[in-house]
Amino acid sequence: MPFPPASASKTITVVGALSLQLEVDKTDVLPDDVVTFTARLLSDSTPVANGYVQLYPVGWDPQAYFIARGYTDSEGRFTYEWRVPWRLFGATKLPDQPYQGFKAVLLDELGRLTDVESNEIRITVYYPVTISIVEIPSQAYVGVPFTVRGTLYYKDEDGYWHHEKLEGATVNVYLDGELVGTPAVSHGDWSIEMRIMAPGTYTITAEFEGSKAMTKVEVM
Amino acid sequence: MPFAPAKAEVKVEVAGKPEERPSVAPLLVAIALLAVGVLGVAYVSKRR
Repeated sequence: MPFPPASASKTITVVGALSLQLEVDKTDVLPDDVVTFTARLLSDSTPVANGYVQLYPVGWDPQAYFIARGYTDSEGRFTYEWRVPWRLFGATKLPDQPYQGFKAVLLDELGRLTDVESNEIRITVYYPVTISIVEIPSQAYVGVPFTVRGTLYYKDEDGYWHHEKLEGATVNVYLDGELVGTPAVSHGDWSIEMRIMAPGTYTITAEFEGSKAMTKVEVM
Repeated sequence: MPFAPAKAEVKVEVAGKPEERPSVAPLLVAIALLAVGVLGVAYVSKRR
């Protein structure tokens, strides 16, 4: 039984191995800060456009929980501005964790996860803290002791300032940049007695170091 | 539990030692003693 020959053909483009790189503009943040994630999809070192990318928090099922999805531009970039919430998906409060990891993953055309995953970015979310010097004499006299009183509070997700979690924390008090004492905080208050031995105008600074070297400091 | 750092600054003016106001108490005591003395002398003089 003779059969004629037959053939079929289709073009397929084979690109180099795909890789995803994830970057973020800052890693130490406060709730309500805006963090910019940038995921970059590359084939070897060539940008890949129209790649479908998802950003998701590590520790959560990426099938169900993600913070953004989108397509890469002509430079292979997918950029997303994320407003930091107090809680992720209503779960643990972010400032109660040492950090939260994030990754980007490439999705296929049907929105399914692929094996192409980015590096992990770790973001630490801090409780906002406010320190004040509330009582100081308008004028002090050489050699005469006086008391400096202040407060230290943190903001919680209810929008109010609290003191409970800062009980026992210490405040560094400086006189013209020189450390003069480290009073402990009790019920949100701290105080220190001072004596200055020469006339002049001095700057008294009260500083709460925070949990880690976070550079964003608001001077009250 | 991470807490953000915070800082506050104020300026304080420190003047020389406060002037010591002379106390009026010793003066009042002296006047009182003088008055008692004068009255005492007057009383004794009158009795004589």
